[in-house]
Amino acid sequence: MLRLTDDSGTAVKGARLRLEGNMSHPGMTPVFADAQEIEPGRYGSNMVLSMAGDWVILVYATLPDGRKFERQFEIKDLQPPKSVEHSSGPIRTKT
Amino acid sequence: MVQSELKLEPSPAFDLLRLPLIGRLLHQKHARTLLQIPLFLISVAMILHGLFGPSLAPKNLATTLTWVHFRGALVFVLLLAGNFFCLACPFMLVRNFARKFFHPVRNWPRRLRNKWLSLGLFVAMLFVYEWFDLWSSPWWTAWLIVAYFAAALLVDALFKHAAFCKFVCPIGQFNFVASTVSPLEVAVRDQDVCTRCATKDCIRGVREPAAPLTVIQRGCELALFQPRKVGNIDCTFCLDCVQACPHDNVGIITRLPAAELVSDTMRSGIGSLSKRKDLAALTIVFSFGALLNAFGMVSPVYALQSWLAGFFGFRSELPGLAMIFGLILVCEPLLLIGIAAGLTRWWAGSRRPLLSLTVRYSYALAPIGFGIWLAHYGFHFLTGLYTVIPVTQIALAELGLNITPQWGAPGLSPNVVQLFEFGFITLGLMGSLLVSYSIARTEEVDHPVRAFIPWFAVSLIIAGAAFWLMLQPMEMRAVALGSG
Repeated sequence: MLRLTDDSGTAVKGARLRLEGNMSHPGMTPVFADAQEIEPGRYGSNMVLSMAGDWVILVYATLPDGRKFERQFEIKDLQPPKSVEHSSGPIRTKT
Repeated sequence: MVQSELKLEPSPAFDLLRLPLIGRLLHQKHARTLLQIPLFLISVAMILHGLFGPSLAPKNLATTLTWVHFRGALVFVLLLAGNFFCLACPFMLVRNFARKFFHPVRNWPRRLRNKWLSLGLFVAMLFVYEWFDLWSSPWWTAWLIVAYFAAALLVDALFKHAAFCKFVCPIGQFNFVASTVSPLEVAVRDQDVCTRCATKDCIRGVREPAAPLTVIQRGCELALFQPRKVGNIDCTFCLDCVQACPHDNVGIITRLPAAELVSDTMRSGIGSLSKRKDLAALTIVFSFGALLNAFGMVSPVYALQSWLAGFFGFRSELPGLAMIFGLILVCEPLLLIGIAAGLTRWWAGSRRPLLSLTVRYSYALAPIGFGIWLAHYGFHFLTGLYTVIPVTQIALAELGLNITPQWGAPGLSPNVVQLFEFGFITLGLMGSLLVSYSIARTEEVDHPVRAFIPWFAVSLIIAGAAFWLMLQPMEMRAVALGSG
């Protein structure tokens, strides 16, 4: 879940957010997902992250007035669910 | 009974230099330079993108090409052909250019004419790779490439011949050990021609007739005299001997991979393998280092590091990592190889001193070590094969071209590549078993099987560990942001 506010802390409604997940190792493609506005200023997305470990999530945001900006944050030590610990399948995470 | 008069002549070996197009190209005086220039230009692009491009490793040419494509292509070329990456080495292009201005007069110090320094640098490379998470840092990767160019220039500006290649370069040492299992070798075509040769230009070089001090074509800078050269160790495939030979008697010829590991004859520029403790240690570190490097990519390593930190109260990564290195590169080989050597001596009645016996048999670990490197680097190469396209598009877009990176499938499916991984490890295991049995048959005539069984067990344990590692889920850790 992402919360988008302006400098005064007011929720920013109606923005378009695109997420891009990257791992630390080269040779991997990024994972993309769009975030939907769930309630005013709060955006959620389901990202399918393909591997355990550290992820860097880049957020590309377009505000209602057309302005664009980028932010990034890390998901450290993402672990697969215990029941599929040894499978090579993707890990679904809520962002 | 009628005896057939048909005699089976051994089929002539395949010689790459006899091929119409490739052979003619490699025979050209500037063939090496032609191959080095593209790699040099790619290296420059990698350095610039590493220093000034995106800080995320999967989007940067420096990290993608170095840790995915270069390493993968290197091991596949070594497996299928030979040490052609040393032939096309971009560091030597710059060094050869610098040698037009620098004319070193010093010989490499006698005490350092062995593999101990390069072995230390090889371990240091593996350590720095893990400690600084080099795979995740374009900036540090770029500086590593710069450091490589600088080191090659410095060493070969100060010392004569190919001191950097023979005694310093860690990648070169990796290639020398790995190329013992390659199917191609730079070798003489006809020994009789060498016997009759009076000039020995392949080692001495070709001199200007009017000015004998002027060399117009170098001989072997790594002190490998072709008629007495055995195998690929220390051979950079530079083709100086091919250019220098006045009889066109040097080729790139097929041979039985890994057979050179069995032979203990005197080799030009090397001596007997059984007397080279440094080379044996390099082979051991090469083989166990393959396990260590793969271990660094799976989740149990983080559990072990965390346990060590908790147990000993470490506050930084360094001491725990050093302990893991010590465990896998020193304790494990000492234990396994020590027990195997002791058993061979006791059970098979070998008369060799324990250390000499250890050295003799250690070379048998090269194929399994190479199989593990191949499985590991091959995995990244094949699963990330196509990522070079969008990463190049990113670099071109940064130059102002109107290109959008097209991220598609990164490469082959990991499930398919895993089959290749198992195949490579199995191939390496078979190679090590064949080499150790051949050494046992040569050394312990009375009890070859007894001598072989302990080394069979060592290879099997290493292969078992490799299979276990390849079955572990990968876990990419250590994000290095803001370094570039």
